[in-house]
Formats: sequence, structure tokens, C-alpha cells
Amino acid sequence: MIAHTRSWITRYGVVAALIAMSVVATLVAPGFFSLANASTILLHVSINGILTLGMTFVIITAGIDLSVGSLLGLAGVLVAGALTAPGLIAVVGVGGAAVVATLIGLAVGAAVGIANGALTAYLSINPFIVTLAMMTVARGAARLVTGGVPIGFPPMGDPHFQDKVAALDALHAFGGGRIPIPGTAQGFPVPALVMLALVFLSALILDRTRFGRYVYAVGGNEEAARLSGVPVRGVKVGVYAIAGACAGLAGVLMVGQLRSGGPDAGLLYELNAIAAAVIGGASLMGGIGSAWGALTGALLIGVLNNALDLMGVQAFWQEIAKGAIILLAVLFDVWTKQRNGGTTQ
Amino acid sequence: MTKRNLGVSAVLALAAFTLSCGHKKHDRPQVGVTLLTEAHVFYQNLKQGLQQGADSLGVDLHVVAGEWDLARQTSQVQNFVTQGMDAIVIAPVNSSGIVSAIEDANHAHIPVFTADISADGGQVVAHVASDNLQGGRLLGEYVAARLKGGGNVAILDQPTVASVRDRVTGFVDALAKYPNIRIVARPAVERGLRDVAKQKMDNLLTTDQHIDAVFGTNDDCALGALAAIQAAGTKNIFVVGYDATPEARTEIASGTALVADAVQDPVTIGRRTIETVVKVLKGQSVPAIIPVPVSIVTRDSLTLKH
Amino acid sequence: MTLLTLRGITKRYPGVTALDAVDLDIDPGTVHALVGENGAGKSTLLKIVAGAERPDAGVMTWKGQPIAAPTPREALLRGVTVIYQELMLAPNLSAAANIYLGTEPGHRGLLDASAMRHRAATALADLGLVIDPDQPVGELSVAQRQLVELARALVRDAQLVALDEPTATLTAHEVAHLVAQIEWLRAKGIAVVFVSHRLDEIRRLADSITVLRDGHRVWTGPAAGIDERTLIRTMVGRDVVFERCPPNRKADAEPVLSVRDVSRGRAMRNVSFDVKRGEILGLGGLVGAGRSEVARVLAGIDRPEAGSLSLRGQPYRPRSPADAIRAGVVYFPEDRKRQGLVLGMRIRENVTLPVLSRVSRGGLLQAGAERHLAQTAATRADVRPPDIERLAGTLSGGNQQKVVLAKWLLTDAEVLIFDEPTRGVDIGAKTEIHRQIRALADAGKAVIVISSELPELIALADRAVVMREGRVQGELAEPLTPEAVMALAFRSA
Repeated sequence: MIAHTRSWITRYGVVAALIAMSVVATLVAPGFFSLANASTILLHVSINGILTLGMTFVIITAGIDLSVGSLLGLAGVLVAGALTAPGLIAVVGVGGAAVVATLIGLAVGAAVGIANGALTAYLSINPFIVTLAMMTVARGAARLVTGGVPIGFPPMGDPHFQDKVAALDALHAFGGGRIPIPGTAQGFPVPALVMLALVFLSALILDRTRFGRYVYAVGGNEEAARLSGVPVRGVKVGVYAIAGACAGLAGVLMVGQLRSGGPDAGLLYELNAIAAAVIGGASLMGGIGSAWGALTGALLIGVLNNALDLMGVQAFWQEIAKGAIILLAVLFDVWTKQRNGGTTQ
Repeated sequence: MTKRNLGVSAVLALAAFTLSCGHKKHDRPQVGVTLLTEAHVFYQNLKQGLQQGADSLGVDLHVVAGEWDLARQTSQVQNFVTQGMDAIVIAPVNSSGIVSAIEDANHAHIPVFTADISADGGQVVAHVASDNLQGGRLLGEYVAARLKGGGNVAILDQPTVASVRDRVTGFVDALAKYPNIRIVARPAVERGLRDVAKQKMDNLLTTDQHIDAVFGTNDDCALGALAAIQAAGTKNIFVVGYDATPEARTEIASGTALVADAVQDPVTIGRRTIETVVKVLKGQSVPAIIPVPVSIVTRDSLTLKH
Repeated sequence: MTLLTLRGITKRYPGVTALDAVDLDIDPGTVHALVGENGAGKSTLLKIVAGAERPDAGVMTWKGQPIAAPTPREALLRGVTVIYQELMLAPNLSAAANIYLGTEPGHRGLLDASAMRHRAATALADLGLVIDPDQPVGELSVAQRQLVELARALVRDAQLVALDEPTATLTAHEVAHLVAQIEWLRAKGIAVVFVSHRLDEIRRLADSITVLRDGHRVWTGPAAGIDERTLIRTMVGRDVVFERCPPNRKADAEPVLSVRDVSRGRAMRNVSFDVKRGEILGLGGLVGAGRSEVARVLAGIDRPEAGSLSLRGQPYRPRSPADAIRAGVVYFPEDRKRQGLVLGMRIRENVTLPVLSRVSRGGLLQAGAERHLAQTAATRADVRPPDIERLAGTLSGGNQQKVVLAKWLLTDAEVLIFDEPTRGVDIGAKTEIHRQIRALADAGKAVIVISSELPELIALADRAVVMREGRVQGELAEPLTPEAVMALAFRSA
């Protein structure tokens, strides 16, 4: 039994919705039902899926992190900047630059996350405000360091042209690479693999570690958790650090995939992550949510987008459909709560 | 009670401050500029052109940007009015939404100019912009020639952006002359972001529809499409883009599937805008629309330069 | 004529019958007290009077007319105002705005602010409360807020005012004022129903009394016709609740925990006392005397501003509850729903929260070990049923309290502080919790019990320290009598 999800009907309700949507898409969307398209969906979901995992940790503690989209952008431009810094390539080589850039992305994300968590936990500022401010700061910083121009392929005649392209290609093996699968032309996208590994890791942390238990306790009843000896502030800093590191990793993967870090990358992605977390059963009131739910929520949005694209549905209708799904998820949740006689109070 | 008084006095102080600013007299013409964004190469070049023009003609520029936020841009225009600018230049966030801000300036008898993107109403003295219709047409002709008059074309569209609508109209007009060229898909790319464009292209490549050519309505769209094509390893497909940013030029020059880009001349747009403003301030008459021609870059034109 | 009549009122909730065929008659210009233990059905009865709950069976009549479909709004228009323990006021709005909330005077959509202010001030003055009607209610004391609610009843021309434990959190002076206002309402011909646990107050104020027990009305009659002892026996259903058990244990000679001259703000000033292994120390006094504040300092929740603590002869300076738990001092908080339990978590998860390190290996929780530990604790604390996978929020009050007990039993703490350990639990669970507390002291733990129920304090404590207004008033050993504790708790300065 996975603890801390809502009643089984809610948990499997989202999975059922996902399956139902996939069946309908198979019938009406040309090219939907194929291994290649499935791997494409997983690839497209991976960025939002990773953000959603981090967001889920935060939401379980009854917090919110609005900064992850901007943080993705900031981490991305720093990663791209490090990757194409001739000095760095000269010292550590092309592969080394890719590794260093990845670490920079993770570190920047985690550091900003720790700042978010510390401001929330130690100064007791509402996380909505803290991360709203950080969202603006991070976006501004991303535009500042790039001057508003994406960092990516060097211009012709750049003295380090070969090195820079090679470094971008090295990270591309991570962000845009595919693991060959026998019998398929395309193989399995690496970012999707990273996301799935993170889902397993997050599920392990949430269900099987002391930290995970504390995350639920803080969200369920912060005061009771504190009186039970739970290091509430440390837990809060931890979840925001995780959300930040996830955003940093998403930034790394996006730079790898596109071979470019744009200052506007990840614009408003925090809202997609919140939506996916909520669709996946996380409660903004805290105490409830799961890694598998996060994956399901992100997949639901991903399948919807993919199917509507394949059907050639206009973008504006896609937005309306996505909003309707979020509302339905919340309505469904309210409905099951009422049916259960409010046992979760 | 005291809180309310404090608020009132703060507002009064602020009003007094802005009024005093408004009454300050300058010898050089003061021109307020609000751009759509500063976080984009195109607008940075546009700003550069404005500055060049202003420097050579002796004009003081005050440049701000709405950053995709109509409310913010509206208040920026209102600030210019309060400050008593001699002229206001707007690159609107939203063609129809900016009209009320323009009317505010009209009421204050401050001449308004638009650059790059036009406004749907209000009294605008002159609009200086790339001839996006012509640019789209140019790309359409190029694609038609490359397809030898037959094939399937996809457009990565941004239907909410007026200048893109012109590009697409020109492009579609040019292709209309070729009955064997069909436009088979026109997905919209949210906020013109590169990763979104890549996802749209991934999905297009998943469908059975065979695609021979793609028109990315800005370079992020074109480069996103390119990334998808490279990832899928698809051959016999090419991409044309718009804006010719440094990244796009590099891709074109290195012989990838991105083969051509329409190149606007934002520096000239900027310079031409300030020249027009100065003419009007001197009392000369100017045409209502001042088009700045768009050209096209290909691998040949780029390597020739080097 | 009888104002309100209830006949055969029955209300069932899932798993429990809160009211079982209860009759009640309320006459104008009288004060009627509702008494009974927690869970006897008093609050449910008030909600039914207020129209907030609908009875499953029974008839209500108002001035002889049957009430067809009672709703809160309908009851309000009829002239019924119920003042709950959690006051229903908007803290950011002014007193005047609160008094007129929902019945604002005005015309054509505009508020008549001056009329509101004027009439609100008059109503407040009638109740002896002189405040600026523009003052936000959040800035007022609890007693003042209560009077604002009463003023609201006055401007609505209420004919029946019901108060749920209005005096529970008031000072003696404030209680006297409230009692005078209730008497004034009675003189105006308004019917007053009130719920209270303070028997002295009931006997002073009430004209008639209704005793509820387990949802049944067991007795109704004139207040003059019953003495306190009989009243208690009627409420509880047997003669004496708690017998003082002489301890068959021997306390250590040396204290394990010493408190010396500890101060924190106005709530506790120069507090000193000791507690030894193998004894139960009672902390007595009225609500607000500073007892919980002492407990919070000992538990590492608050830091003392002055003074020192020592544990086993060593200086003891807990910086957090986690510190205190590591040092062997645990706090059993008074509000279990807010402070004691994570209601959305399972019993197992609640119980093992402070001791997770003991069931994790290599960073991973060992599910089997955790279940075993939780099961042992739940069984020891007599949680019923002993199903450790149930959500804490689905348990009864007594069982929730036992889960909190189980949690602290697992920590093997040396000093256990119980703050109101049996508030809101039924008599059966109460006896069990008392047994557990005694067993802890018998096992050589140092136990501190804070209780506002004097009989409970007397029954449990070997020794008592009595506080008043943040100071220790005195220490009592054998013979520990209610009179002695009360004398210290009330002694005027």
C-alpha cells in the first residue's frame, strides 16, 4: 500500500482518466498508438515531469514554488554559458565541460531552492511571496547574464567554434540522446529515462525514508510535527532545495536537447508543474501527494497535448482543454472527499 | 486613520514630483520609447538603431519595455504623457490593447509613432516597420523554387502576433500560385518558445503526413524545428526561418536543414523611426506607413560575405 | 407562554447517537443551564436550537407554533442568537460592522455608517462595554469580543440567547461582569440558555438546569432544588469520579529536573520547582495562570528569558522540541488535534514520528520493524481497535489521546509533561489514561500533570505546585485537598 495518497478511487481515477484518454487518442489521432510516439510523449513530458516531482515535494509540505520556471531559465543560460566558455573547455576538455556545466545547473538550482526554503522556514515569509519574488529575480538574472540573447551555437568565425560545438554536442548526448532499443528506429530518449529514474528515487524518498515521512508530517500538521521532534525548518529547506535542483536539472536537459540556453526558456512552466501535481492528486493544503501521482499528472497533460497536436486541434482549444482537465481533477477530488464523509478533514 | 493620511500624503507627494518633472524644460527634443521587450536580439538592434538616430539628430531618448505585459506598457505610455515627452514611440505588446494608451497621448497632443508592430486604432502619425508581407512573400518564393513547384509545407505559426500574421499572409500568398504545393499543418507555438516549437515539430513528424518544408515564423521556431528534424534523423526536409539571429546564421552557414532566413533590418527601422519623429517635430509631413525592406539570407549569401 | 419547546429531539452522526429523544422547555426571562460531561450532547443541542443542525426526529415549537424547516437564518430572524466558544466575528472589521454583519442598516445599497456606529455604541454601552465602535474586533480581549456578540444579539432584538461555555477562558473579574449582563438580559425578558462546567456559577445564575448524559436528558429541575454533589452524581452517573490513590511508590530523593527562577514575559515570572523520578507533580491553577507556558519552556518550544533549568544535575537548555526529546523530556500538548497528531497520517506513522531513527537502516525505513514498534506502543496505550493502519483523524477523542500517549511511550523519556491529558475524552478513556500516567510514575518516570479539572489533579498528583498570574503561589503535599489548591489559585494579591 502506498500511504498518503487519497482514497483508491482518486488515485486510480487519474490513472483511469489517463488510460481512457489514451484509448480515445488511439481511435481519433493518427499516429498516436506507436512505440515511437510513446517515447516522444515521454520526452516531451520529461521537463515538466521533473519540475512536477520537485513541486510535489513542496506541495506536500503545504508550500508552493513559483520560481521553478524562471530557475530553469537561469540554470539553462548558466549551463550554456559554462559549456561554451573557452577557458573551461581548455582546462577540463569538452566532456569535462559538459559535466561541470551539468553540476553548475544542479548547484544553481539547489542554491536558489535553499534560499527559497531558508526565507520561508527561518523568516516565516509566505512561500508564495518568497518564490514569486525569486521567480522575478531569477528571470531578470537570466536576461541580465545573457543580455537577452540565447547562448547557443557560436557565430561563424568564432575562434573556438569547434570546441564550443563539440561541448554542446557532448551535452546533447545527455539532453537529446537516445538509448537504442532493438526493433525501433529511434530508441528511448535519455531525458525520459532521467525522469523515470527520478520518479523511482522520489517514491523511495517519500515512502521509505525518514525525510520523506517528515515531509508528509510537516504538511499534515506542522505544529504537531515540530512538537514530535521533527526538524521542520530543515525539512522545508530540503524540499525547496529538491524543487530547485529539479529545475536546475530540467534546465540542463533543455540546453542539452536544444543546444541552446535562452533567457526566456521555461516561461510560466511553474504553472504547468503545479497543474500536473494537482491533477496527480497532491493537495495544496499539504500532507497529500506522491511521486507516481506527479508522473501521472504530467503524463495526462502530455498525452492531451500530444493527441490534440496529432489531431491538428488549434492551440487555443488545447489551452481550454488543459484548463478543463485541471478543474475536473479538482472537482473529482472534492466529490470523492464528500463521498467519504470528510474523513480526511 | 493615520495610515490613510499617510497614504494620501504619499500620493500627493508623488503627484507633485511627477508634475515638477513634467514642467521641466529641455532644449533637446525628449522622446519616450516603449518596446515590446528588451530580452530579444531584434529589439536590442532596434534600440541600437533608435540610439544611433537620436545621437546623430540631437534627441534625448527614454527607453523602457513592456516585457509582454500590456498593463505595464500602458502605464509606461501614461508616464511619458505625465512627463511631457515631445513624442512617443511604441512597439506595442498588443496591437488592439495599446489603443487606449495611444488615445491618452492624443489627448495630451503628443505625437505617437509605432515601430515594428502597428496599432489598431488611435491617432498614430507614422508606422515604421519591416515589410513583413514582402518578407513572407520572399520566403514563399524561395520555398516554391526549392520545392520545384510541388510539395507539402508546414508553418509553425504564432497567430496572436500581428507581425507574424503578415509574414504568414505573404508566405501563403506566394505559395498560392503553385497548385501542387499544399500547406498541410499550421500548429501554433506558445510564446514562440524554442522547446515548444521542437515539441510541435516532433509531433508533426510523428503523423503520417509527409512534410517537405517548414516555415518557422521566428528563429526560435525555426531552430526548434531544426532540433526536432535532427533528433529524428529525417532527411529531405528543409526549414526556413525569420530574423536571421546569429544562431540561425551559424546553422544556415554550416549546411543544416535550416536553409534560409528572412532578415529584417531592425537597426534601420530604429534609425528611420527617429528620423521620422524629428521631421514631424520640425513640422514636415511624413507618410503614414514607412516600410523597411526585408531581404533573405541563404548559405550562399552568408559564405559569400566571409 | 413557553418560548421554545423541544420534544423527542434525536440526532445521529455516523456511529454515534448524539441526542436521544431529548425534551427541553425554555421560558422567557429565565436562565436555563445545560450541564453534562464532554460528549453528553450539549453542543449538538445548541446547534439544533440555532438551526445549524437538523434533528433526525422530534418536534420544535416556537411560541406554540411548530418550526417547519429550521435554518440558521430562519432562527436568527425568529430571534435566536447562539454565541459559540469559537466566536463568530470577523477580526479585521470594526465592532460596529461586526454587530451589524448581515443586517446592515442603509438605503439604496449604501451603508448608513453613522447610524450603525451610534446604535452599536449604545448597545455596547448597555452591556457596560465602553469602546470605540470603530475599533477592529481583533484588538479586543476575548471577554470584550463576547460582549460584542451579545450586543449583536441586542440590536437584532433577540428573544433567546444561548452561550456555549462563555466563562471557560475568562478571568474572575470578567466572569462577574458577564454574569451581571446575563442577569440584565433576564430582567429584560430575554431567555438565556448557557452551557458551563463551572457548577458554582451555574448554581448562582441559573433558574433551572437540564443535565445531559450520553445524549439523554437525565434530569431537569429548578436550580435551587439540587446540591452540587447530587448534580455531579447526576452528570456522571455514579457517586465520585476520582478517588485519590495513595501512591504505592517511592520517589527519588534527588530531583531529576529543577526549574530555578525561570521567567518569560508576563506569562511566567520567577518560577521555581523540582520534580523527581517516581512521582507525579501536579501543576495547578486557573486557565491562563502560566502552567502551559512552563511546560512549553521545559519541552523546548519556547526559550526562557531568565533563570535556569537543570536535568540530572546538568544544565538543560533545549533549543527545540527535538532537543528536549533527545534529552528525555516530552510534552503531551493540550490541543491534540492542533499539536498532538497529524490527522491525515496513520496511527503507525504518528506513533513512530519521534523515533524514526530507531527503525531506519542505511537511511531507509524498515517497514517490519516500524510496524512492530508501532503495534507494541498502540497495544500498550490501549488504542482501540489496535489497527495501526487507521488514519488518526478517524479516531474518537479518547483514542486520539491514546495515540499521542503511545507516541511518547516509545521515546522512553524520563520526564513526561501532560497538559490537560483528558480534555474532551470520555470517562472510560479518562480512567485508562489515568492508569497509564500512574503506571509511568510507578515505573520510575518523573511526571508533571497540568489539569484544570481539580478532581483530576487531586486524584493524580502526589504533590502540587499551584500557579497564579505567572507566579508559583505555593507547593502542596499531603494532604492534597481541593480547598487547599483553590485557596492558592484564587488568593488575592
